Amino acid sequence: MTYALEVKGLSVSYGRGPVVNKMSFALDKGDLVGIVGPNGAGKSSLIKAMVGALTPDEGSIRVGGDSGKKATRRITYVPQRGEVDWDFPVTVEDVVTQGRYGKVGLLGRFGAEDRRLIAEAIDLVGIGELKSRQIGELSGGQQQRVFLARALAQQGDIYLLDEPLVGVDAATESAIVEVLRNLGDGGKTVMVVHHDLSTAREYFDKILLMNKDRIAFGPVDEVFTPQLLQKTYGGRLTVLGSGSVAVMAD
Amino acid sequence: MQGFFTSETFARAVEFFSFQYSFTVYALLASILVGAVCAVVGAFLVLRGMSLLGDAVGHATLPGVCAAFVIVGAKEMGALMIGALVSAFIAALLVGAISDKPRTRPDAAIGIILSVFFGIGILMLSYIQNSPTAAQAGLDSFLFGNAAAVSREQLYLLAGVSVVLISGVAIFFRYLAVATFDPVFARSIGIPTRVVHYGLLGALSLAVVVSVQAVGVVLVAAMLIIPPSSALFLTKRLPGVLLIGALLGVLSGALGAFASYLWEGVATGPAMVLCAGFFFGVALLFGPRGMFKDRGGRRVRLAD
Amino acid sequence: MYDLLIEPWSWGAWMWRAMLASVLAAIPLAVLGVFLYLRRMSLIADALSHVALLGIVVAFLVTGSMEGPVMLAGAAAVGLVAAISIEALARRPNVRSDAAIGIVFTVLFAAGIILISTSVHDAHIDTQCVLFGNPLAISNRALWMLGGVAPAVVLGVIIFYRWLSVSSFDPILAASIGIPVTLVHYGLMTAVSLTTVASFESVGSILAIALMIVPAATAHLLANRLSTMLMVAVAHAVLSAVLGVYVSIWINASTAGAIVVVGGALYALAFLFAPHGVLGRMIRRRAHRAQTRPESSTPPQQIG
Repeated sequence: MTYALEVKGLSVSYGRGPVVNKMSFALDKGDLVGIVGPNGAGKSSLIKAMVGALTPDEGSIRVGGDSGKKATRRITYVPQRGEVDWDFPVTVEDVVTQGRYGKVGLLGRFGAEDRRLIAEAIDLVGIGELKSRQIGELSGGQQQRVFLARALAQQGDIYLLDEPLVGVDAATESAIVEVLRNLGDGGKTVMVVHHDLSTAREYFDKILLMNKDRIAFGPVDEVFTPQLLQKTYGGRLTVLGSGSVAVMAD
Repeated sequence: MQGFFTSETFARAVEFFSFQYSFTVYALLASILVGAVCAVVGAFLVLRGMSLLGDAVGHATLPGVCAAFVIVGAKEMGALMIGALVSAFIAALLVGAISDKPRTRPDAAIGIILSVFFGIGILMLSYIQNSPTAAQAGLDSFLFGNAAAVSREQLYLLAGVSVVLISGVAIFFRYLAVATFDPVFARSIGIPTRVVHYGLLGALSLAVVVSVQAVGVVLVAAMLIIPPSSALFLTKRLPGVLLIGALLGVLSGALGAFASYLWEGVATGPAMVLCAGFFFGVALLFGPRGMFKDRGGRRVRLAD
Repeated sequence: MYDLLIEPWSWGAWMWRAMLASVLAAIPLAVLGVFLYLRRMSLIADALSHVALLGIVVAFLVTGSMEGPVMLAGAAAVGLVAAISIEALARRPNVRSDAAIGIVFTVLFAAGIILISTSVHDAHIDTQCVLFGNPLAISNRALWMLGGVAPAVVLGVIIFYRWLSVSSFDPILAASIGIPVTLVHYGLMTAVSLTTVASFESVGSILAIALMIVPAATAHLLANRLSTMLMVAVAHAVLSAVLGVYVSIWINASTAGAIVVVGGALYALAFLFAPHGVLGRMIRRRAHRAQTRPESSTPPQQIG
């Protein structure tokens, strides 16, 4: 059976030891998955390895049967906002245009279809009036939407987002979650490193609990239990009575 | 201080523009080319936070020049430049090699390579000249630049390298832009970020080696950093930064060469740098993205 | 062996003067360097040592005097101006901190060079001497300056040790427990300016940076605590100075260059062979890999 995205035995290390240890999971088309775990659990590194920006020590990544470079090309990536240089001289439109570079290449011309996809992506996330602004002029929520638009313009099958909802306003948060749901409904596969336990259950179909190792993976109701959360966060959680969880993780 | 604007100054200005001496023409052209190519390469350095690498690479040319001199024996310009290029590139690589190890700091790595390579160069130079005082003729122009001493062959080389580097940047623009702005995204769409990185180091080494004659070792970093930094206050898109940076570099170079001709004792290197610094000040204060348009020092942000 | 080590001392007073000058410069530079390195300000120190030249020139132009204290005051003043400008510039949204350093120091340095060559025509300020030093013919004035500045700096560091160490490690915590962090910061900058000027004739401004960064970087590879780091840095600097003077005499080459090259060689040794260096980590990685693959064919390495 060919999964949309299959990761097997992936390990990534940073000189001081593994930050991702033999990670394995398989996603189907249309899955909307949240990656949850404490700080330093390797969530960002996992994503970066899947996208081809970090070289894993071992393991494989398959996208719909392809592996290696072909696989990573089909994955689109939305970075953590904090990692981007907001003073960089690019406008909103410039950034979203980068989403088409994979297709048009180094010197290729932009066709009508490319232009349409760019404009569409910008509209879908709701930042049409801002397209000529330099990205540093944008608010936090708007900046996040720019990178989502870039990913949409790429027209990939798999979307990996690194903490997209940190520090965004409520309107942006629901706008982004809606875009992600629509992607899932449209048959795309979406995987999100999520920071907020209280909304994880509501936003995602499946959850991957990790803390360097894979703790659990599956439908959100099966995985989001006090016992497994305790195991993931190592006692930094308080489990209240009636099975609900009070979050005291960082 | 002697009078700055005497009638003699005016006479020399007229003389300069009559272009009757080839060395003035060469000096002017060399300074202009240096301004352009350093600004274009330097823009990517500044945006990657590698500004002072240019300083280290500039200083690192000295041991290469001395080594070439020892090996080749005579003052063969081509050999000296190759020597400079090799040691400059090695220095750039070593900075990277040191920087990403534990218990090292990237800024210290630049400082270490800068001073140790330069120290090696000084040692070799003084050994070659057989005296403990490294103060020798020719070193002055190497340190501070003397565009007027540029020969025709050197000018051709500078022009050729400038054309190659500037067209290289134009051709690989998309790769350079994305790899600089968002390296993880660049890797995810298949851009070979490692190659881009080493290519940039190579371009830096080339630009520095051909510019050292005009600007000098100590100040070549200024021509790499200042014009592009000024451009960042004047435009909000990367192609603009490259164009305006190059323009400012050219202007600074030209004015610097001119000033150097007008007044005795003014070397071209410092003169160019002061001009570049002046433009920077103007851009900083009055540019569309500068201080007066954005009071308080923080960028104007839209509300959510 | 005896000849090489002992004989030079009999050649004249200049030998022990050279040794004294080099060692007196090495100690305070190394000590200050450790704090700068930890605060990631190595390159600001580089800037300050270049800018000190402008300070001396300005002091001379304003007062007409080349006395030690005047030079020190001039350097300290211009150094503060530079440090404050760098910080103000770095706070602008479009300017990175390393670009800010590059812009300020090259412009000020260029101004210094031009001022020297146009306004100051006596041999008192010999550019070469200021840049590279000449410990073998060191003047009394320089020795006096070093004799004053070096112990003052060491004493200052001892007295303010707690402030320096806490604010270098965690400036926010330091401020919250009442340490005047800004004062410490600018105090450190001023000490760097003063020490650089005092060291001009020993090692020159361009290479003073080497005696600040390289010992600190070496010490970081070898020490786990601040106090040990300071001791290792001083030992490294003194060793480089002493060996450097000897080497420059043996091969009749630049003393400053020799000191820096020795220092660089010591750093390279530490980089490769220290427990935290390249070799140490390779060994540890092999041991770790052997442990996590018990069924591998090669037996696990025993590290004794």
